[in-house]
Amino acid sequence: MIDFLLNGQPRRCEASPDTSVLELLRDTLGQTGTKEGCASGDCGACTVAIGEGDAAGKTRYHAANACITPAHQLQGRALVTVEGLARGETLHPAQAAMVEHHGSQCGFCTPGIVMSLFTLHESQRQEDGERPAPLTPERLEAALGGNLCRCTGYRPIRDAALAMGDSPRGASRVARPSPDAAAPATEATPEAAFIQPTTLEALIAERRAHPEAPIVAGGTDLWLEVTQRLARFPRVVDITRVDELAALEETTLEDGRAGWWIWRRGDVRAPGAAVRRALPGVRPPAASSGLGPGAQPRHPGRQHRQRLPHRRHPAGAARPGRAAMAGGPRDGDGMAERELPLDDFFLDYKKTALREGEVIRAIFLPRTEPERHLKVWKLSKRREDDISAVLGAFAWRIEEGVLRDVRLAFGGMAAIPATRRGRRGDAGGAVPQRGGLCGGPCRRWRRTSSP
Amino acid sequence: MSDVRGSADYRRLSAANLLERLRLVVTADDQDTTSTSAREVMLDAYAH
Repeated sequence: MIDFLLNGQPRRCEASPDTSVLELLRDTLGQTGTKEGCASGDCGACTVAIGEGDAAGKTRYHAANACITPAHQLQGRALVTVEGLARGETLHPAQAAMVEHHGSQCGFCTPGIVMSLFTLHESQRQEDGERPAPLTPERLEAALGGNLCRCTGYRPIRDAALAMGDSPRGASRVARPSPDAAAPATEATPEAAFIQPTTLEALIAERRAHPEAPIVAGGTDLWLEVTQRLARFPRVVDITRVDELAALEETTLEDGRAGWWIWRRGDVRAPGAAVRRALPGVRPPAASSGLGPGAQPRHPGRQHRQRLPHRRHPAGAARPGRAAMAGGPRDGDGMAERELPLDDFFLDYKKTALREGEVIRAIFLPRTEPERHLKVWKLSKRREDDISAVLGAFAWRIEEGVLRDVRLAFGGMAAIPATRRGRRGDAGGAVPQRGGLCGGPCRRWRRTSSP
Repeated sequence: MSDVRGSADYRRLSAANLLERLRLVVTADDQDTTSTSAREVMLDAYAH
């Protein structure tokens, strides 16, 4: 049973554990304004806004792809769809601006774009009182990067977004309930359940009792099994409400490496801030959206880092330092913990070193030494695609004109992210010239890689 | 491992090009880690 607010009205729905928000809206509630496009979180046609109460008691909305968001994650939250924006004949500024600037042609992508604009409008208003802050091109691009339009063209949509900022009152037309995020749905039955533990102990107990149940956080990978392969999951474990996994800790490991343990979340922006601190001087891409995907999948990715190692796609980003696991199949109430270098964590395609009953407790992100060079280059069909075709990450340092500590890594070139730790020996000590770094080691890599 | 993200050949070629780009960077005269170009995160999107 899911209790949530739909466009300001309390709703109580039954749904199987593997039901998506989109299925709940269209099939159960008859709310067909939200469209199904790609059903894989890429096109943004199904974008909705999900509100959560923050520490200050305010409702903060983020855009989400309804097609890959578990319906049970709505428990205690506020869902806003395109049907909930207008008040009678009065359109929300996002809608009015789209009409005024001819931002819709065939209309299929329009509900999703309007909801992305709504979320943008909300975030602008929340940061600057009732009057929206000026909209920067970077912020606009980041907000709309997860929405595809194939007939209208983006310029009218962009014009609408810029015009929307002139309206100070629009967001207040949406009902502002205070969603109770502390009410997880744990009404399990022997046949089906969407389990939402709130403590690490409860999470590990669940993992030990039902190791076959998949873990979900953002759903951006697991839910593709549902939408693309029609898989069914009678039992799902949601880790997004485990408090102990909500921290960011600066530390120094026993081997002297400084860095950060990143737990699931704390401040929503904390992992991103840690990355920026860990990689001082990193030059961001031209657009501020960075290496990541559009706003819809980026939000759960930012909030729920645990999804990354549990179901690691080989085309993902380069690996940071270490993983800490907790749990394991042992008797009693104890909580075994262990750590692994991330190089040893990935075993094969979507297979990791996680033992039965274990969960990822944290990821260690090492600080980059100031004398090291670092290049991370990603190639993707489009910038906001959440999965790259190829990603290369390269680090080295130059010591008196000689290459030292070279590390090369590729995503998308093998069943798991491919690193060349051994290349330290091959490339370290080479004078940086043609035939040095990219001579023997790279030729061998080309021979052995099998994308 | 060809899929919607690109064929195996495309990805192998892309990876080779990234290595070539790396070679050009490493062999460039400017190896000052204090410059903003010493650390870089870039994304290139290509239709293929």
